[in-house]
Amino acid sequence: MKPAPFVHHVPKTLDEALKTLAEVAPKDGRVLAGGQSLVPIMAFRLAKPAHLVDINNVAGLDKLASDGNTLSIGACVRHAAFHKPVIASPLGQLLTVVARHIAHYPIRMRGTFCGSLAHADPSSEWCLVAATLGATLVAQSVRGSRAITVSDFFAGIMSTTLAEDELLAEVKLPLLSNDTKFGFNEFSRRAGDFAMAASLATYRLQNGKIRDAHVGVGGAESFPRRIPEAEAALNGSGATDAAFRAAADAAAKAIDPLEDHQTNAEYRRDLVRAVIRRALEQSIS
Amino acid sequence: MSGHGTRGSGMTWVGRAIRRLEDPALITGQGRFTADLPAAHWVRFVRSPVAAGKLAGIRVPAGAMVITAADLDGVKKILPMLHKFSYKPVGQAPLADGVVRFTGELVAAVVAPTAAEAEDIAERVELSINETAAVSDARTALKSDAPQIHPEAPGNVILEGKVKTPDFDATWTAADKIVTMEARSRRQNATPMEARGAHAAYDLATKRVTLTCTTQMPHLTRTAISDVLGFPESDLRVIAPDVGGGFGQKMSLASEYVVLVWLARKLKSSLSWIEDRRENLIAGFHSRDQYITLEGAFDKNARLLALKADIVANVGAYSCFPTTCGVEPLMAMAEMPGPYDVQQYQCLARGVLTNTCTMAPYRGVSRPVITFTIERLMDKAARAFGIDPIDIRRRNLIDRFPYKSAMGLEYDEATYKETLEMAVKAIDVPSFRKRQSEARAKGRYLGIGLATFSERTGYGSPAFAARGMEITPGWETVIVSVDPSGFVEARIGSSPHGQGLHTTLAQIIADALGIVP
Repeated sequence: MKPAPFVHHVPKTLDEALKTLAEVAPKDGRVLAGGQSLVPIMAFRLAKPAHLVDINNVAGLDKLASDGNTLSIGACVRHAAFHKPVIASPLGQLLTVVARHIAHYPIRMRGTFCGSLAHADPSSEWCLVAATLGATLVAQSVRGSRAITVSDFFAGIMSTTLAEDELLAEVKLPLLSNDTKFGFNEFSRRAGDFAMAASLATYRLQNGKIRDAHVGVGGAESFPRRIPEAEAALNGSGATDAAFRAAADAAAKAIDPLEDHQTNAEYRRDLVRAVIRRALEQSIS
Repeated sequence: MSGHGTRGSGMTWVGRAIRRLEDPALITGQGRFTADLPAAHWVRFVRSPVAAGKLAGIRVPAGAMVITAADLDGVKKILPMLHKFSYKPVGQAPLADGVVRFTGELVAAVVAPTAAEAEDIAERVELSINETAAVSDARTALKSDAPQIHPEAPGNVILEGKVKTPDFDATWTAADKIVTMEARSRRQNATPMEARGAHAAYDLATKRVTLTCTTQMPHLTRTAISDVLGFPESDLRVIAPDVGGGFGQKMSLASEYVVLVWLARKLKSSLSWIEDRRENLIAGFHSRDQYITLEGAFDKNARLLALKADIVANVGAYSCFPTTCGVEPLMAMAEMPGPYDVQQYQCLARGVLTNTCTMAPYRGVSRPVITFTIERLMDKAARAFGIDPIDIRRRNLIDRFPYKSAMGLEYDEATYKETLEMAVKAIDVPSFRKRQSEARAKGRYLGIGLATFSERTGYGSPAFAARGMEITPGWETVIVSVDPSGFVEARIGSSPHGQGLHTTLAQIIADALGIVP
């Protein structure tokens, strides 16, 4: 359970990192950030990259900043950074609630937010957050910088539209207005396991009616996404048990559930119904 | 340590909370484990990637040192023995000689200056295996057309335990209700925190090998390895240093340890093999892959009159040394009735060979499975009679002692019923039932599971010796001596592996001799 031999590159600046990545990416080079997914599969020798571009020593990539409209999360920001709210907006609390569900404490100390997105595991909590809130992802390479909206980012199970020489340098999440309500729920057989289904829901209440509902589902399809059918069932309704159940049923109908070693499609569909309802119940508790 | 428990004082060291004698070293990082030893060479094993096949060839990278079965000339097979229950002796070559029978079986050993180099080389060893049909499920292995794992065990049955009490049939036919419970226990791995590992060092002066290994049975490891390799026991010293958990997985002989000692003698040097977690999960002995069909015959008052069990234990591809693969099916057969009073019993317990990792004892040995099965049988019976699951246990738990089971096991005084009533009171069952029905109305399921458990002990006593295992006599030798300084030295046979045996035995000896542990 030791990785196959590889060349370890340790750039100190972003320019140097991008140059190295451009050079080694065509020769089976990969970016190493927290390594919490890449290193275990290397230890199993399921992945044998010839080069690793280790960005942990690159100055400036561990920044968390806000311009008043978005929260910007740098490539080396760890999951544990969100154990306490990072910003005085409902977004800060939301990230804290979600962070607790990511694997286990030691993993949260090393793994990174951007790394989770670049890895694109269907059950990743941060991928669900990015999809539900409408993140913008900033990819950098020697060719320049480009912004990718989250709806154009995921391409399949553990697959994204990042080019091989691109580093996911930053993710921007929109700040949530102060009246935003949210709830998050995930189901896994044991605490810390990959979610078999997860849901994040946000909305605002105006005169007792839900508006601007975002209902995201993760762990159930190839990648997390918002479920318009569930959002339609909520918008214009009160925050009631009936509306929550209607949204959960609509989502359960709308999704195309994954089948894997853990369970079949029908069970997962049922889980989606449950996690959405529980996320919405949490939003009013 | 304050206070002196001495003979006649009425105070004892046993039963008192004292600081563990083991802990100062362990919690300050001074523990000594097998992997801490330096070695001149490191070993990595090449394992079969398939469950069944014939070895057609092994291609070794140029310049690499790789040992295969062909090199182990004169090395015997590991051959666990049992002289009852129609046991079929099945041998295991330390490195597969021509046939592989489970995924993870050892095929070759790579020797290199470091563990990392050995692993890199092992990956480049090319095995040519002609795959043959494999069977992994025990019930499938019992079918007439199933692949045969070993010619010595036709039909893949390696062991068959049978019992039937004299009045079984008459009691069975007179019963009011027959209730059936089918249980399936999936394969488990003991996963000790420290996986397996060994360090073998050859001494040029004495020509002896010292094997330091993480084991629960240093003495039997010595006996077995010297027998398999064909040299006197006195040429091998086995040391069990600090052991990071065993749970049974380390009380069976690892083929890896045999190969390591062979290599130390061959190279006249020192070598280490430290198992990684993946190897441990795949090939570090498994357990509890069983099918149990249990039927209970009850009278009209829901009293259990007779019990019928069919136990199919998947024992994997080989038998484990020294206990043999009989441990799981035979333990299940002997203790199936558990804490319930039933004098008529019929059981068929089979050990079935399959193309899976070899089974070995794992803490509890079958008891989690049989306890679950009989308790579920009681729950099903309670439902069939329309009575409370607590009530059916009140009617059937053993309450007179000493009690002799249908299998002839003697039960000392126990408090099964009293303990059940304490639990019922502590839970406040009537109010729980109310909460349960309220929650159910809201779509939430609450429940109570009841289980009573009795464990046979008496290891190192005539009760254990009665099992008749070869090589495992079942008795224990302890030498306690007082040296001229007045200090007491105890030499014991039991090997500690994390339970605090040092402290426990010091307490016992302190009470017996009137000294401070």
